Amino acid sequence: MTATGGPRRSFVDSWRDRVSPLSLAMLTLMWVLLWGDLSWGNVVAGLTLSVIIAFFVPMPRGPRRRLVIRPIALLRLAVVFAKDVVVAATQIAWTILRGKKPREAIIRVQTRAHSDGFLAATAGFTALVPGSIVVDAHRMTGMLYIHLFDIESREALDDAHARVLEQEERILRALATDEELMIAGFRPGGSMKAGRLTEAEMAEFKARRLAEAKNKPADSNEVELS
Amino acid sequence: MIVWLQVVGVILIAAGVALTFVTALGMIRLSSLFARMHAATKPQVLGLVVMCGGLALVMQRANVAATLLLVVIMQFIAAPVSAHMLGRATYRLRQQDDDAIIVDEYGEDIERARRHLVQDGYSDESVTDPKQQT
Repeated sequence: MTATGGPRRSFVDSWRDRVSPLSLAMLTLMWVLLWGDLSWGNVVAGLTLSVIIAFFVPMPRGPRRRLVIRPIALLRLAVVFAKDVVVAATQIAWTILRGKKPREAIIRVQTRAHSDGFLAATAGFTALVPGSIVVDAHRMTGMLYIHLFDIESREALDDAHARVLEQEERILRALATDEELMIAGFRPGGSMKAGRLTEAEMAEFKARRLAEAKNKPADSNEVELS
Repeated sequence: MIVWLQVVGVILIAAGVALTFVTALGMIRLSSLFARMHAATKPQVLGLVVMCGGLALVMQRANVAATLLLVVIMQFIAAPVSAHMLGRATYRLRQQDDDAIIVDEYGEDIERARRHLVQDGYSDESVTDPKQQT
């Protein structure tokens, strides 16, 4: 019996909650990179350490999800991101060298994915592309508050707004499941041209999910559909 | 050792140093903390990436390149997080230069949330008003 009086969780259960294969792979890779030497000893030591770290200092885990990678969409995300980082750096370097006083603005952007992970990813990417850093993120509503470096006009605000949403779409199209894309209101698939769901399609999708949710017992890990 | 790759590497290191220098210059020249955070995230990150790339080309050893790759990945993760934390702290403590900010939708939302709380019967003092925290 535990302190709360509930049934004691088995070792296997807590193992499954804490240790995910993906985190093991990433931690081991990091260990090997740190040593800069790919040898069996390093891999085994890294794997052992990863298991210990993941088990005793677990990361908070979100809902379980299938890992999806769409290679072409991922490549597009990476290429656009690399280009954006270079543009951002030159732009800011130029402003600094000219000694111009930037006109700043803080805007709110309602992100579309209903997921902490994708909110964090969007925030991280947004901070490194031209003109924007994230001031705050509101987890419940998925709202991002973005600080813009130098704003010339009202249209520039709308542009910045659209750029954050495009960034999010690129991330989702590269890494989200079809289901997650549809929750965010996008037609599934890796192409940016796939577009958004129409209202009729969205209504149909919501009805289908409601029906599915009724058929199986409630699970706290289910992704909420607002 | 391929010599011309090393030459390219040295040029990249010089470019990285120049970008880092511009970042440092921005810390002095830019007036608000937010503007400085932009400088600290973008030219600085690119400067480090270019420098690590240059170093990898000069050294031409796989294990060095692996460690440098890790440095770059860590930087990409850490820079947005630190910018976010500093930005949020600045905003909440009202340390920023209000004149420089021409649109502030975050402030509007905070103000609206505050008014809702006051309407719901919370006293004005118990609701933190960032504008009065000077």
